Amino acid sequence: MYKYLVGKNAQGKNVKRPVYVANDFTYAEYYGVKYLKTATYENILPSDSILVKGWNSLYTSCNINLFNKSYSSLRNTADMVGVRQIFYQTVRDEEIFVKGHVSFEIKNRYYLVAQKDSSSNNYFYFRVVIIPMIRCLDDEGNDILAQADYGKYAVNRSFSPIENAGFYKDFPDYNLSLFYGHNWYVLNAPFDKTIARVDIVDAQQQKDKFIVQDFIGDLSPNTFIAYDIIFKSNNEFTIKPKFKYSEYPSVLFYNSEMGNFDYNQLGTPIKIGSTTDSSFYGSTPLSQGCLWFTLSTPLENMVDSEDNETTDNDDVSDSAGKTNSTGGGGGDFDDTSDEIDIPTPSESNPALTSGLVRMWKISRNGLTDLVEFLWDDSISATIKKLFSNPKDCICNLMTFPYDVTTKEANKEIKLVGVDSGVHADPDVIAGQQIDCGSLDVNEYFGTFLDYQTNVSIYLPYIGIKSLNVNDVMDSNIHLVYNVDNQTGECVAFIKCNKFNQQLNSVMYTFSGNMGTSLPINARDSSTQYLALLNSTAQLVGYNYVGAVNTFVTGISPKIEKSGRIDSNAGNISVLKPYLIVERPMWQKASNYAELQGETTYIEDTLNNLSGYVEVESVKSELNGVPKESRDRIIELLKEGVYI
Amino acid sequence: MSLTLRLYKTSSPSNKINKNVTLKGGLLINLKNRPKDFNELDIDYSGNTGSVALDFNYAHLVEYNLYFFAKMLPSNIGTAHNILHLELDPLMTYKDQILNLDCIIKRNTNKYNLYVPDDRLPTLKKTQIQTKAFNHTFVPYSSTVITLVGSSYD
Repeated sequence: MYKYLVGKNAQGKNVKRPVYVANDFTYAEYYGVKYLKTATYENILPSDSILVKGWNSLYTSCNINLFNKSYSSLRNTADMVGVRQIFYQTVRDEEIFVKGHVSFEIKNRYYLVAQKDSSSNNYFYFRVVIIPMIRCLDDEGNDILAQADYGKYAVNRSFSPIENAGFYKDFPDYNLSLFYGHNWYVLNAPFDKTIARVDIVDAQQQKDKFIVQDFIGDLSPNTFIAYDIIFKSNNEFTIKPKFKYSEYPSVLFYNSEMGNFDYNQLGTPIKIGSTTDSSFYGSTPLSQGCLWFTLSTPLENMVDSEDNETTDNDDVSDSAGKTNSTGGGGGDFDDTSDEIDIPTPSESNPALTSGLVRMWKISRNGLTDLVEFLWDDSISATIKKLFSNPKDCICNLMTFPYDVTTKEANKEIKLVGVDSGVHADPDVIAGQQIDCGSLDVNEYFGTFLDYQTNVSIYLPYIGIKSLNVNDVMDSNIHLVYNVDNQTGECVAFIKCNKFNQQLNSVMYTFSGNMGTSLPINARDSSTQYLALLNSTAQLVGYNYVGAVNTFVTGISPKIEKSGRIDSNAGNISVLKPYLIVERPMWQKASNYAELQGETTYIEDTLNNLSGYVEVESVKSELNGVPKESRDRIIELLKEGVYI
Repeated sequence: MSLTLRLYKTSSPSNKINKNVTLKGGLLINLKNRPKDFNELDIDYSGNTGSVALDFNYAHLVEYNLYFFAKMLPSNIGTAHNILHLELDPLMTYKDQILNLDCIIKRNTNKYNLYVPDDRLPTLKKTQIQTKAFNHTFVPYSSTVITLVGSSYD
C-alpha cells in the first residue's frame, strides 16, 4: 500500500511522511543556471508526495503544476485548478543537500507537469496546483504551510512577479515562459477566484512595444498575482496590484515603494511583491543555484518497520492533526483504504458439468429446429422411452439481454445419445460479468454545494437507486453486473474510486434479474404471464411526486423513483444505465465576497488579510487598549469589518 | 488644556479599520478638564480658533492620537454655541494593535475555503438535474439459453 518515510526529526520526535518518488524523472543540474528537461507525470495518485531536494546558495524554490487533465490535452486556463509554489529556505551554510525536503501530499488525482523553457535555460518552474487539502511538510515533518510565520519566510525570499506568477505563454503551445528577473510584468488580469488568466508584457526586452501574452496567474498563497501597469509617459509608469488570491496566510504587498517607477531604472530589478528589507539576500540575483527533483517509487528500505507503526501519541507529529492526551484527537489519522474489488463470478457449476442437465446457447433457428425435432412423430424410440412427452427434456428456456458466454461452440445436440441435427453452443458458463464502463463524477461548483447534491443511478433490470453524494462526488464510478446465467439473477456492483482519497472499493451492490423465462407448457405460461403482470404493475407505479419540495438545502427530499424492474419489465424499460445528478442552484451577488466574505475558518493575523473580515475569536491580546474600547473592537471584529 | 482637533471627511464605512479621510479643517480646542475617557465628547468650540468646514464627519485628536466620528449637534448649528459631538472610532484609533491581532477568521474576501458550508448563501427552490449515461446498452433477447436433460455433444 502506501509507504512512508519514517524517522525522527530534530526534536527527536517520530515523524512519518508519505513518499512517492519516480526514478524515471529526467533532470539536469547546473550551477547558476537552472535547467530542467521536460517531464510530465500523469496519474499522480492520492497520497503521492514529491520529494524535493535543493541545493542552492540562496534558497530553493519549487513550483509544481498539477492539472486535472493531461498536459498534452490542456486547452485553456480552466484546466489548471491552481498553482502551488513552494519556497523553502535551504542552504546558506555549507551543507550541500538541503535540510529542506519539501514533501507535498497530493490529495487529488491531478497531473504533474514540469516544462523547460525552449528559448532559454535561465529559469524553470515546477509547480503544484493549489488544492484545498494540500499539505506541505518540511524535513522535520512539520507542516510548514500551517505555520503562522510562513509569511515571514516568504518575505525573506524577495519574490519577483514571475516567481510569484509562474506563467505559460504562447497558448496553445504551453511552453513555459522564462523569467528574466525584473522585466516581466503582468497587465490587465481578469480574475474569477478559480483561475486567473492575465496578460503579460515584456517591458524591458521591447521598450516601446509591449507584447501581450497569455498568462496563467499564480494562485499561490503568498502572491499578488496580477498587476496593472499604467503608463504615465514613456519613461514612467505605475504598478498597481490588480487582484490577489490566496488560500493560506498570504504575504502582503511588502514593497512599500509601490507606486511610480522610473522606466529607465529597470536595470535594477524592481521586486514587485518583495520585501524592502534586502539584508537577507542583498542584491544577489535570484536566479542562481540549482535544483533537482527526484520522483521515484516508494523506497522500501527507507521505511523503518520498527518505527513505522509504533509511535507514542505524545510523539506523533503527523501534520494531519494534533494529539491531545485529555480530550481525544489521538487517532492515528490513517486514511488508507484496502481496495475492495468487484468479485468475478464462478464460471462453473458442478451440477452443470455432471451431464445430467446441460445449458445451451441456441439461436432462433436452432430453437425452431429443435422444436420441430421434438414434435416430430418419428422421434427416436430411445427418447420416447425416457420421456412420455419428448418436450419434457426441456427443463428451462430463458433469454438474456447480453451475449451469453459458452465454453464450446457449434456442437450438435444429442438427446439421450440421439443426434438431433440441431447445432448450438453448449456449456453456458454459470456466471458472467458485464462491464458497463465508468463515469467520472466531478465537482460542479467546487464548493460545499457539490456535497449537497442528490445522486442516483438507474440500473437496467434493477431500477433507480440513491447514492450517497459523499461516496460518488469527485470520483470515478465503475459499474459492473455479475449475472447468474442459470437463473438470470444479477447483482450490480458500483465501485467508487475517489480522486482525493485512497478509496477505491465497491460501495454499492443492488440485485435484480435480467433473465426472461419463456413458458414451456400451458402451466408455465400462466405463471410467467402472472409474473410479467406483477412486475409491470410495479413499473407503472412509478412514484415521482416532484411537486413535493422541501426547501432545506435547495434539494428535494429523496423520492422513490422506480419500482423493481427486472426480467420482463426490464426488457421494456431503459436499457442503458445512467446517473441522475440533481444539484442545488444558488444565487450569489457578484460582489458577495467583497461585501460579506466567504467562509474560511483559518487562523491568521489580520495584517495578512484584506477586504471584508469576520472574526470567530481573537487569540492574542489587544495591548495598550482601554477595556471598553477593547470589548467594542472585538464586538466589531465579530460583526465584520473591512481592512 | 489646548488640543489640536483635525477635521476630516470620510466616506469609508464605519466598520472599516483603516479609513480614507480628507482633511477639511482644524481646531484648537480647550478642555477644562481631561475627561475620564474619550469615548464620547461634546466640545463647545465657539471660542476656539481654527477653521471649520461644514462637510466634515470625522476628527482626529492629535495629541492623544484618537479618531472620532464627528458631527455638529443639529440644534446648535448657527447659534452662538457650536457643539461638536465626537464619538470614538476604536477601529481607526487602535488600528495598529488590531491589525496585529491573531484571530480565527470566520469569513474573508480573499482567503476562504469554499467547502465550509456557507449558511448565508441563498440556494434556490429549483434544482439543476443532469443525467450521465454509461457506455453500455443491454439488448433484450440477445441470447437464448435452453437447459436440456440428458443432452450431450461429441
